[in-house]
Amino acid sequence: MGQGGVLVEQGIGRSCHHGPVGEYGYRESASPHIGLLWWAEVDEDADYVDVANEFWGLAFGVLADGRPSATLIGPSLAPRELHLRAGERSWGVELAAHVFVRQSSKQQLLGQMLPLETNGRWFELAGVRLAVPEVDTLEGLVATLLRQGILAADENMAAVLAGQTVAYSRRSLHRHTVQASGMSPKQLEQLQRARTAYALLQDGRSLAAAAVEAGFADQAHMTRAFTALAGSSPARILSAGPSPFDSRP
Amino acid sequence: MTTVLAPTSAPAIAQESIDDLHRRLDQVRWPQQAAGAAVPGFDVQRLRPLVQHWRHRFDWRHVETRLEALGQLCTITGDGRRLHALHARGGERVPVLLIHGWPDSPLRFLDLVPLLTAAGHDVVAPAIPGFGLSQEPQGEISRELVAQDFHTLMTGLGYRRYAVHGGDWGSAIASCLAGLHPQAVAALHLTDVPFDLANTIDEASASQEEVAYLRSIKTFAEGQMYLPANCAQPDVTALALSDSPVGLLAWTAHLYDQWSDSQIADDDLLASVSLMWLTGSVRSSMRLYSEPTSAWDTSSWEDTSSWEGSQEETTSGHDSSWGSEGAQDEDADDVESWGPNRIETPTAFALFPADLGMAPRALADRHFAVERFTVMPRGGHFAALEEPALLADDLVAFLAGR
Repeated sequence: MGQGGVLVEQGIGRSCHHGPVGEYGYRESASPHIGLLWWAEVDEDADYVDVANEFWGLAFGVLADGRPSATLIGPSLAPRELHLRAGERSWGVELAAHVFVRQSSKQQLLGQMLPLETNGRWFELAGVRLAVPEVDTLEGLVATLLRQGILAADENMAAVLAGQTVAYSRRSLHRHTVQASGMSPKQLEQLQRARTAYALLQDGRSLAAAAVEAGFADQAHMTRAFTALAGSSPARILSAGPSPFDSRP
Repeated sequence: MTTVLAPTSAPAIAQESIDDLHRRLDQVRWPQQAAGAAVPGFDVQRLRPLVQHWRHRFDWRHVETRLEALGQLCTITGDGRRLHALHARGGERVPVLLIHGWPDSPLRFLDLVPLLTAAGHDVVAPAIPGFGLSQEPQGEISRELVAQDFHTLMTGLGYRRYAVHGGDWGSAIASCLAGLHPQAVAALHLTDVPFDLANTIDEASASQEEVAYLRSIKTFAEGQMYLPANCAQPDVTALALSDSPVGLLAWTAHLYDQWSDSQIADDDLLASVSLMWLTGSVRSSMRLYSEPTSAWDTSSWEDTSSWEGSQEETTSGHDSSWGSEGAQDEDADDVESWGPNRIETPTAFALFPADLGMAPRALADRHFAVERFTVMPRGGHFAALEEPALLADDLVAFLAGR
């Protein structure tokens, strides 16, 4: 069981929530370039706060009035409020943290949701027309975007994110990370740390224990980070309805 | 309007050629295959039912009937060669010249032509000289010669301004035609960025995706039998394939399978192989791979000393691949100094994912005035057979108002 009466079916790398406002599901992918594939169907108007995250994404959908949508989602350093409208259907891909959109200014797109031109069958990104995918063809789309150079995978970043040491000075690591992702290594670490802490809290750890285990200096630091990244304190997030952390593993 | 020099109807294939084909199919000698032998590559067992189908059910006359129903003509070139083309009337929209590649023929376009005529386009789909019923030149062949033949055909039919669609060799010939007659070619619509343009990518300075594409093309070329066969041993290859219809079928079928998303219909594959067999055009259809000999003298490409030194060495390949648009501009200058001229004709690309390579838009932009660049969700090298509606929709949309 998840929080606030949301039923969570947990499979291997797969999850589906049937909440009071609709259905949200995701699954992981065999592609190292993809974080997760997700889909959502909204039954009732609702607002959902999504925790700040370092991931680029593409979302496709049909709005309540039937209009198609395609959106390029930039990473965000602040929580984002999503306004869900009854009748909407959407699906998309969240990329791995070391995969970026190449031809955009990273800093400028921080926190942005950029609408892309689409007629429901085709959409356009960086001068390339592509077929609007289904959930099952999103992996092929990501492969095409990489081949076209619209997305780029940075293997050095992947190594940094995996905690491996790379042959960089602290300063050039900072510069490289900001250039590639729009975020500093410290900001990336903070985002990962908050997710780790939330998972530990879900597992039943105390606030103090989760804070230390996730790498925060203490519980106060964790609380400040949660407020900045997820819009609310850990205690309130744990006691309230859908959590800003629900949208990904 | 029709002022083609000496248009004639297409000659029918002699019945004795078809009878001879059937005799040879009856006498096929299958290779011995030990049960435990590994089968890397194409498994010729796939051909057994196909050969039965070819011998007993496939009907070449039905193909001729379809061609006749669409409309076709033959004309004679200035040097006395027969040039064969499908010619179908559609209306007042800009006429379209469709150019096929190897190893096929205008039969590639049988399903596409009606979709284009229905949208209001007249369509001309000639066979490249040396393919099918178009006779090869006695002298050297080149893509320029083919382009010139086709332009003469179009103007002879009264089409002073037309669009050109092509894939494989058709894409290279279409580009050449736009370069030779920019005032006549209103638009180009290509299913690949001509594959030999991969050779213009300089690994030291090109973008990450172009280098990845170049490597994919090199890997592709290393894995192909047909390339060294067609380029370096055309006589030996043609002798084997011209003497065994099943050999020719195997040679063609494995490429059709390899370059397609779904399996091309048996009758389409057999029609293509039958045309090559019945017209005896195995050897002549390979000629563009080794001619003109001057174009395949790559030693001139290897002398890069004049421009290589001007590139600043970047300390990290990863850093240089990020957001360094300036580096690409310098690169474009370098290409222009030795590569083919940029084509200024408005150009659309429709790339199909199962094709033998998928160039990034960055490469297309260097060589063409790209106005539309589409990556299709499915289909392959023979997209006109596999996904005629996707292809027709894209072509018709691009040509709207031209």
